[in-house]
Amino acid sequence: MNIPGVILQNNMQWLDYLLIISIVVAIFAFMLGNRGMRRANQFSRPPEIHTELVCSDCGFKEIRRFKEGDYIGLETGEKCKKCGGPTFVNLIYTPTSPLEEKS
Amino acid sequence: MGLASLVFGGLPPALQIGGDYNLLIQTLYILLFFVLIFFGQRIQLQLILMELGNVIGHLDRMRRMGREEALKKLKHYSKNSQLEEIFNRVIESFVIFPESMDPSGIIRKLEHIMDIRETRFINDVKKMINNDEVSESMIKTMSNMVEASMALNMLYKIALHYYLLAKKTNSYFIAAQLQMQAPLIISFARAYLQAVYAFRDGAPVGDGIGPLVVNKFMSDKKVVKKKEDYVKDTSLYEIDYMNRRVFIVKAKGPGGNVGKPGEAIKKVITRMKKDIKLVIMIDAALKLEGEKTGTIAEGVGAAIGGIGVEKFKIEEIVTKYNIPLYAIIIKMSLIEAISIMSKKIASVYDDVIKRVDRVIKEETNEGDAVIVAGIGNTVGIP
Repeated sequence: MNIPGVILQNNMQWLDYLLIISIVVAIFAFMLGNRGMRRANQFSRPPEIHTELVCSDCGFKEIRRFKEGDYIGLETGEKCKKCGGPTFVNLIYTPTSPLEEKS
Repeated sequence: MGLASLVFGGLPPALQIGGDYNLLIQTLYILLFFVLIFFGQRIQLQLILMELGNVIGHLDRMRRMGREEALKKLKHYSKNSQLEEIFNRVIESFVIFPESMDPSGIIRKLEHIMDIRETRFINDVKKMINNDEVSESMIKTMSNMVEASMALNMLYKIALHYYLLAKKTNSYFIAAQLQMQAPLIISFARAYLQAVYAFRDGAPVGDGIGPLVVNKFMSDKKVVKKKEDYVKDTSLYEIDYMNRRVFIVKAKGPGGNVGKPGEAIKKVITRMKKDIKLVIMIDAALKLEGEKTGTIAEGVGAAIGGIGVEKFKIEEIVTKYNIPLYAIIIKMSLIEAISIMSKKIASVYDDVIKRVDRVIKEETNEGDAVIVAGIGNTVGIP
């Protein structure tokens, strides 16, 4: 088969190209599909939660991992790392939403 | 020798016409042309069904993850050996909404049905746990977790229904409709799974920004009066602020709860009548694609979601007494609203409080009474 602009040494070479292109397309499709699944699995995991503690005396802020039983306003009983004063839970949040969509 | 001839071992001599394969390739192309004309849609259907199979598989995995997480949490507190049996019954439960052909009185009927449903649901969760040491607030949070797990189960069942229907009827169009909605279904499922995690841990969700704002608004002010159960699951606080009586309405926390803010606002206005000069509602609202999460906007009207019962009550009472109704909304996607509150959302509370201050100052005079309602789920927010 003659393809304009392409000089083929023999006709079997055309099938070679077809085969190579098919393999490349299949690999790309597999990689894209796999990437999608990895992203989907990543979204299904629980996010990291942070608790922001504030010192009632000096206002020093400290962020630690969320502990079960934390709620906003809770007096934790933990001492301020700066002045040793009592701390309370100021905010609870996830630092980066895994579900954040591009906008 | 070319690669193809190595792989296929070359074509039989009978097919080699004049040493090239022109005729063979042309015949194949013509055949392919007719195959695509007559069976193109069938092939397309099979491709869509293959893709939908993956979607269904992913939904099933998320449903099982949600179920396992919920059961694990319940088992941790439960003293009931029949926990799983009750869980399975609850997860398949349903609500039949009232007939709307004659819409007169439908709000009352709807509220009644939803009240029954909630009471029954909470009782079922109590039965699952059967442990007096577990607090009411924890029970409410766990009932929210079971609800999120229920939503995951329902999403999976609906998607599976249309997938099997398309397969059974060989309908390209049913499959195509499901394929078009698949990205949205998957993102809702992810959000519900994130909601399971949020309620499992008792961490605030994006929808809790309304209660968070009023909590922070009150935190540095002296509370004059406080009624924890002013109406069912809803608290009322009264503060003296800028020489105005400010009534704060929010659902009772820190358990997962949305309360009945409409009923509470109605009760305050019915008692105070025209002394109430302004109602400000603060709520999470859905953003449009392209809008940034955490954007604040001001408007008028009842900023409250749900099935409409609470919204109806608020609109009716403010109209009766001709009270201005202002709304401050914090924008986020539906997914962010039911997932654990992100930093972007949590950090806007200060700006919202400044706006509440400004609106109170601009729209009311000293001696007036104002209602500020923080609408949303109070999980993790007292």
